[in-house]
Amino acid sequence: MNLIYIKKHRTRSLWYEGFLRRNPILVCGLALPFAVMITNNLKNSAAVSLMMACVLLPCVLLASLIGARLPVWGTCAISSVLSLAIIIACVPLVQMISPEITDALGMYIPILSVNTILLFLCERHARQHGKPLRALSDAIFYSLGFAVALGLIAVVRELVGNNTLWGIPVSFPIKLSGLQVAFSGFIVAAFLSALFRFVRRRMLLFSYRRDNNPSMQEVVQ
Amino acid sequence: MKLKPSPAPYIHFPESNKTMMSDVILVLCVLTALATLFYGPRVLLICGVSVAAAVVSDLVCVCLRGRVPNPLDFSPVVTGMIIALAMPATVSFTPVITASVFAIVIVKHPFGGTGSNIFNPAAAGFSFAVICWPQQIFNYPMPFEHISLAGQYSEKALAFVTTMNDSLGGARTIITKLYQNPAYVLKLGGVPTHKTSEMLVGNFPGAMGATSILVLVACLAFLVFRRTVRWQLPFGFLGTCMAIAWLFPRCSVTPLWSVLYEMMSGILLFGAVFMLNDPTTRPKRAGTLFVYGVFAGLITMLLRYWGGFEESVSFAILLANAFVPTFDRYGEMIHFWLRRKRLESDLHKKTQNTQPLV
Repeated sequence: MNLIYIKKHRTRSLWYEGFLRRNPILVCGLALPFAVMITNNLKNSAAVSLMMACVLLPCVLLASLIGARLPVWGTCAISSVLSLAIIIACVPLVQMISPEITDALGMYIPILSVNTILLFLCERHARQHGKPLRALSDAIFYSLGFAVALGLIAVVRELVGNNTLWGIPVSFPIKLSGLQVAFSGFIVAAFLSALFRFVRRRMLLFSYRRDNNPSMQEVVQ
Repeated sequence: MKLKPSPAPYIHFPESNKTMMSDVILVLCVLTALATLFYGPRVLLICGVSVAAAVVSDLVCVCLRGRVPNPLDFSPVVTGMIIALAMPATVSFTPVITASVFAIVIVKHPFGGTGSNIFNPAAAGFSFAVICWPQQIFNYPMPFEHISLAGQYSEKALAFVTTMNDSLGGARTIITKLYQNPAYVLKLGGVPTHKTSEMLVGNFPGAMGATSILVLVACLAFLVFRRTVRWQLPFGFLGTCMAIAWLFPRCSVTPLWSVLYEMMSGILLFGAVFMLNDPTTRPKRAGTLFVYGVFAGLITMLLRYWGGFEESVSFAILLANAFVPTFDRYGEMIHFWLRRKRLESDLHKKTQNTQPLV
């Protein structure tokens, strides 16, 4: 059985696994409260995604640089405190999206400082001391993956549930206002996750067939 | 003696999915016929659309899952009929179709299809329709009023019918006047003005299949007699609702009237007969069934008193469904504990009665 392509792809994709292969929401199931509660419109999702990126980049980098020198319990605590400080500084940045966005998001802004993606990445890179580039790449791609997942869920919920996109009315044949309820966030996230898994399996199957089919290998070469 | 070699099982329980669903469909057909008498042929149209949507989505889901469709599985028919009969006769087709499709595609098949779903599909579909279209679901026509086949809320269809009637020189489509159910009056703290005798026979604004209280009680009795429904569950559920209505009346009437109004308003009795007794989503043992019924009744009344909607049975059933595995687990534990104690006491008695050998 020839699995060269799959192995090569796996090795390469370690750098950007957070975007698709280990998408924090759709594959790993991290930070689900954000995926469920704030995705009833695209503006909220964009604001939280922006804040998440602002928090992840410095915190994960710092954890990678000095994490090994801290006690085991210290990494999470220090990264949470640092992220809270960054969040406070970032509030004016997200208010550029909409002045009422902080009121709309409410408690979901401060709880970004203890989100599971941040804690997972900080803990992971604190152990892998001396790989700041990898930490930076993880922070970037996990933020992107988070933004993409949140964006997809928000587009579905806002378009079908409210017939608007970014607050602008859009003509859509059906309006299911039930999708605006938080409970529907679970359903949309679950269905997107299933779709994502289906696509991944199809891609893997395609790679496997390409590796083991001589005629396709000739085409590729 | 001639032995007939055949694979197990050798002992068959007389009740099967087919017989149970057939019983429920029979009873639902009676309710549909009665609703047709009250509200006209539109009831049949709504039921047909709902059942068709449920059956087609079930068929599509079964094929997508790579299974062979079972023509003897009547559960989507039951789901479609329950959803249709829980709605008013004036509802447009969009909520009905959406509720049926939601029930099958979102609630039933992702959990494994017939016999594996955690939540009652009909309750979930109806709840989704309530959240999306509360105006349509909670406004009801009076029985024996004219309802056009296009319905009250399907504006496009209504406009089309009106245009057609005008072009043909016929009379304009009559718009049916809509009323609130007594559940809404109770929610506001008022006293319903409908006579009890009228409420018993179903002559008041309400959901198509949920107003004929006497017929619903007869349906419950039939299903209990046929063992499709186990008596512990509706007994626990309705008993709890009655007790709470008796102890804490929502309006300024005597406790007895409070009980009567609570029982006859909304879809409480309909939900108790058809939604709560889903064999897939209810607990397994008799004792656990009673506890589950009490729990569901408690949540129903809590949501009725403090919930956002006037009708909350479907939400309460969904919430209670989530606790069924817990009820089953603790029910089994208690059952085994009691059985062990009984066996121990029997053994103790035997040893006491045994005469020692001399």
